[in-house]
Amino acid sequence: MKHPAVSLAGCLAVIVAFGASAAHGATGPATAQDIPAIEKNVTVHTLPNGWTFIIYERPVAPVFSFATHVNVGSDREVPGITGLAHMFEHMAFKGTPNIGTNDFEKEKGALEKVDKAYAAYDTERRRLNSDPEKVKTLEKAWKDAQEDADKFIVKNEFGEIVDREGGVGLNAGTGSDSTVYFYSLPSNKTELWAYLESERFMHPVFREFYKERDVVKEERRLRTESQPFGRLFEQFISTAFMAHPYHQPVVGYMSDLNSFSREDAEAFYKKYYIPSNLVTSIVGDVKASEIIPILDKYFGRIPKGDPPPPLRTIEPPQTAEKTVKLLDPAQPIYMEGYHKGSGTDPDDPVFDAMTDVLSNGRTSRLYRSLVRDKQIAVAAQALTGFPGNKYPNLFVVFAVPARGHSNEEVRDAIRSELARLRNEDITDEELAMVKTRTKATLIRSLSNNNGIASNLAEYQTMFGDWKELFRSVDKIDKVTKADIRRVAARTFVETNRTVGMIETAAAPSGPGKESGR
Amino acid sequence: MKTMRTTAIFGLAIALACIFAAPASAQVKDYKQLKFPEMRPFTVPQPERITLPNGMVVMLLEDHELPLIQISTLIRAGARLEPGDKVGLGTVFGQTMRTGGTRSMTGDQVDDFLEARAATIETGVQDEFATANMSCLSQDFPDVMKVFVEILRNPVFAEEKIKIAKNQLNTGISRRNDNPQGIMNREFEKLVYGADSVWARTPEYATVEKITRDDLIAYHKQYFVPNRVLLGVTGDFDAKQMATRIKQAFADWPKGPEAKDPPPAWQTTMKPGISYVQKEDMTQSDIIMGHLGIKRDDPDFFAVEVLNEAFGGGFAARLFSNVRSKKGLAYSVRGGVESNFSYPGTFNCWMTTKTETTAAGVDALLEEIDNLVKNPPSASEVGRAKESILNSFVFNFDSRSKILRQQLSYEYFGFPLDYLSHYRQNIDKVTVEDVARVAKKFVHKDQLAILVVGPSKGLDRPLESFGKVAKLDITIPEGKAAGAQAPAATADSVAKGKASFARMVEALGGEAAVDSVKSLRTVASATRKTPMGEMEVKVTSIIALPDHLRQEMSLPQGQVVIVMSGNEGFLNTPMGIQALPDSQRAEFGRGLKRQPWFIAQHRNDPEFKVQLAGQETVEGAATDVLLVSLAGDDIKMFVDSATGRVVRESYRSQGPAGPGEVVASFSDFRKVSGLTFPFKSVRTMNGEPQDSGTTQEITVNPQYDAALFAKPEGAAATGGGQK
Repeated sequence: MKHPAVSLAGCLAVIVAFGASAAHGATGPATAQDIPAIEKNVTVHTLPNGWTFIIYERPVAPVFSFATHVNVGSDREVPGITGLAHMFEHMAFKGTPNIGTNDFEKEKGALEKVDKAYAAYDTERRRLNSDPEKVKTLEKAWKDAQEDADKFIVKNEFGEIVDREGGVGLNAGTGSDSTVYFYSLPSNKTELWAYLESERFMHPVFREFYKERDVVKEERRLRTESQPFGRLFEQFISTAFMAHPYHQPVVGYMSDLNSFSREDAEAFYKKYYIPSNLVTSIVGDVKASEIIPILDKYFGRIPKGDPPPPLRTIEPPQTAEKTVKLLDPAQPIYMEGYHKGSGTDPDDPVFDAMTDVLSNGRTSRLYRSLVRDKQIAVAAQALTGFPGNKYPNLFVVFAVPARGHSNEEVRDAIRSELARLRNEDITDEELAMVKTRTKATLIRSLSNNNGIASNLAEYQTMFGDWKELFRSVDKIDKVTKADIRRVAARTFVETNRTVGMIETAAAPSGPGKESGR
Repeated sequence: MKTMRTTAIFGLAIALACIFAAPASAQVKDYKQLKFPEMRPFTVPQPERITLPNGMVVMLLEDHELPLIQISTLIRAGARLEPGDKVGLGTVFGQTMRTGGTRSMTGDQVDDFLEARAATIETGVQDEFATANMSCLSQDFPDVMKVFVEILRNPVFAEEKIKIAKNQLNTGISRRNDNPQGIMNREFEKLVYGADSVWARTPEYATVEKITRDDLIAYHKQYFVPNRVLLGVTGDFDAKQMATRIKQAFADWPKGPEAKDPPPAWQTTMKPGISYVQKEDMTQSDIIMGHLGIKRDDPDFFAVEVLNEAFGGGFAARLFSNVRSKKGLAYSVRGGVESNFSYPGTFNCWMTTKTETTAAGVDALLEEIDNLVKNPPSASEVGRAKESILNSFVFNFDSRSKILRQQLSYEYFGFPLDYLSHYRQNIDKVTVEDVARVAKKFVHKDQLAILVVGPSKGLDRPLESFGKVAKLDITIPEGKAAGAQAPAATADSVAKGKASFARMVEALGGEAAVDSVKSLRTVASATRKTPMGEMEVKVTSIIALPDHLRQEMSLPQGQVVIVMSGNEGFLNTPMGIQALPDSQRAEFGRGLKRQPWFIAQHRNDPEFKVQLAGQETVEGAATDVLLVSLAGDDIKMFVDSATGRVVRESYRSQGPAGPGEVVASFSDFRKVSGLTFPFKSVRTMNGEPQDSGTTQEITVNPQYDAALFAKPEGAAATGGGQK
């Protein structure tokens, strides 16, 4: 399915097509003072096995949405298994011993044969001086074993049930930090949902694994290899991070996608998909008193597991400026990033405020300088929490140069805006605007079930308390002009910077010429 | 390509579906044992509808959950109504209506005002309609509403904001070949609807250049009148008070004429066959195939909804199950018979697959399309599809702003406002036979336009195995070079330019002689630089005004003929007959427009402009440099101050290696039938020698056979809709 870490490419395309996006944001309620009001509708229920549920009663229409947030993304991948967290996300739609099969006992045996055949094939093809004939025979045996196992499959039954019962928006996403599963159903089907959701995380069956690996390879070709921004993004993060897993692409490297096995996925699942690593939020026409017994009954079936040890590697301080320049047939794109702390760092709200001042709407500094006054770019955007938020990450600014303008021009204009943040206080009006918009954004986010579900689960996972979502407004309220100068001065320095850009080079091939790729 | 799904809908109070009732109890092993409780009674809230005396339609729906108010507006306008030589007008209009300010505030003041309140107002122009939307906290509504009304009624379209909007649109054009899916969707629509149709045409530098502030003001005056406006409000307000407020704000807006819009100009010229766009910076091919689909008011719409759900609707649908899960060929695969409200959608199937399985991908989609008609969805497939549509029906009503927007769009397109209340029954009535019948009626394997975008090397099988391949040229036609705009014309530069141009016309032979030319035959020999060395070419060309052009070239490989007649063009080579791609045809036509006698004939056209840009010395002779613009094409003419002869021209052109600056120098002037022509020419492109020519013979108004411009038999089979 999709992985949010690359959604920036889509965002970029939209901006290019429609011009700068407008501000979202406002004043009003929905701050920490309102937590008691909101709290009345919210129930937190943690099962003995550690799985936490947040129930938000919002009976606007007879429907509900949920989001299951698993606290593992590509952050726990090591060389050889990059892309596995995302691969697991795809497998979570393949069913269980009860869903997706016409005879699980026989299928189980057939799947074991697939594993053995793959191991034999993989070992032989990687062996020094491997025998090509033998590789071919073993490959065929592996493919035959897959065909055998496929006989027991009831195609896409999991998705079919959700579709047929009126589910909408069935999908999932994998990022650097986490994996999220979501859809919405009519509210008379909460029990069906509880059954399906507990089934797939209690005993998922990784059927059609190698076919799905091919699908994921197509996803890599689609998003990373055949899109200019995808190509830039992969090079950029691998340059900006030298040690931390944030340097790995969520979708994985092609070599790993060609290699990892069904058994690798099983091992990953056993280690990280333990109930205490999962948070599920349920928002809509549900009553806590009615749904809690159902949650206990279905999700209580899952045994407790050992929490995985924390990630050891910490990105070392950057000591030299780094640049990655792609010579590409596409039009220019410019980006630069600066290392900063994690999403739980006390200074994190200062970065949120800077993001807003720099690029939220047509009054923002980057828009007014690059798009309105200099007219050297058609879009310019600051982002924080790139590519994730769980660990120290990047503050990034990117710009799309206008036709006939260069990366150097937009770079200089971006740098002078960052220098202004360092050297001068922002105005009172700007600071007030940031605070107003933060509140309004939060209010607007409360108008649809799936948006609320995803926010609650994310904040519960990150801070151990969903209420932090509402406290985030208070944190922005406390940001001062001096905070912005202090943090900007510390962050926007040359040795903390990674530059990424696409420079237009002649097309690798024109009509009648040889391909350069 | 959106996958069509009925979400845009709504209706009267509908008590929603009920199924069984039973409590949860014993441990469940099979989901089929689960019994669902009845869905609680739910009344779909209905907006209040008011018509103001000036014809404006207003809908109001209270929603007190959050302290917010939103306005959604549909205006009877749309990109369908912009002139064909100004494509992009709607986009520039939509942006600058909001950014360009009003009579009482500048655009920047509007930005400051709104963002200080975290409010938004955005306007836009889509193909079928224009929109104006607003969102704010309810406490700010009175103030923000005033600005909204001003933007709707009194926008001023400040020039500096038009410049920004055009800069953004031109940048979008320059980047449009960077994204494979963008290319695929754009070119497929051109194949199906026709490249120049209102539903497929795209802005070009030349069309953007022509858009003026006056055009925007005229567009606003014509379409932004209250009897073309449908305005809906949802949020935290009292409907009675809101109705009063809206009436006050718009009561004095005078009604406009009750004009009916002309029907959109388009007719499909689609021909079945395979087309290809070469794009080397991909590791996949994007494949799409299809033809015209249906309109939303088609009586078979509901059966098509069920068909689509079974074919391309979700995880269990055929395309996903077979092409993705079973074959592992694609991450993205979609398909269905799409519909639009006011014009037919397309039937299309698309996927992306690695280069090495491109042909296998085409095969897979063809097989699914074939199978859809030969083995239409079974009873269980139809049953699943219907259940899916019916059970998810409630999501049409899960927010009040969604309900209001559905109502507005039914009203706009003339659908009954209770359309959705019959929707369930209509889906319920669809039978297995209906689905089979509509599959046969709307899906035609023998009429498919197939398009592949991707690398040219490494395919599992050549695309020619699917038929003769029409290679589409997606080169972006050069407009004016960015930043190289002509200096602003002054009264003085225009007067001097006209005087110098008049001397040039005299030197050509005078106005009467120039105007007498109806056709012209030229025989010349040219030496052309090619990567293989110099090549001698004998060229015979015939021009028959107003827009017929034929060039015969004798090359070492054989004879090549290029013919253009109006909007048609073809190329006849020893390899066969091919349609001339649009961009090449346009470039070919421009060659005619660069001839001094042709420009002179158009000296009184409204689109003809000339100004003097200065003096330069060319080959030792003093010349007047004239900037001449004719129908959007710009050319610099260097007119010898002493003789009035055009000794040089320079212009932007599309060469074999991309766009560039061409300089053509002329000499050896001779008189033929009272007109002076240069008999020698030399051209360079970006400073590199290109070709040189010597004319042997020129005949003014010769006899010629009209059949020379006719397309030979068999030419129609190639090129598809790419006239």
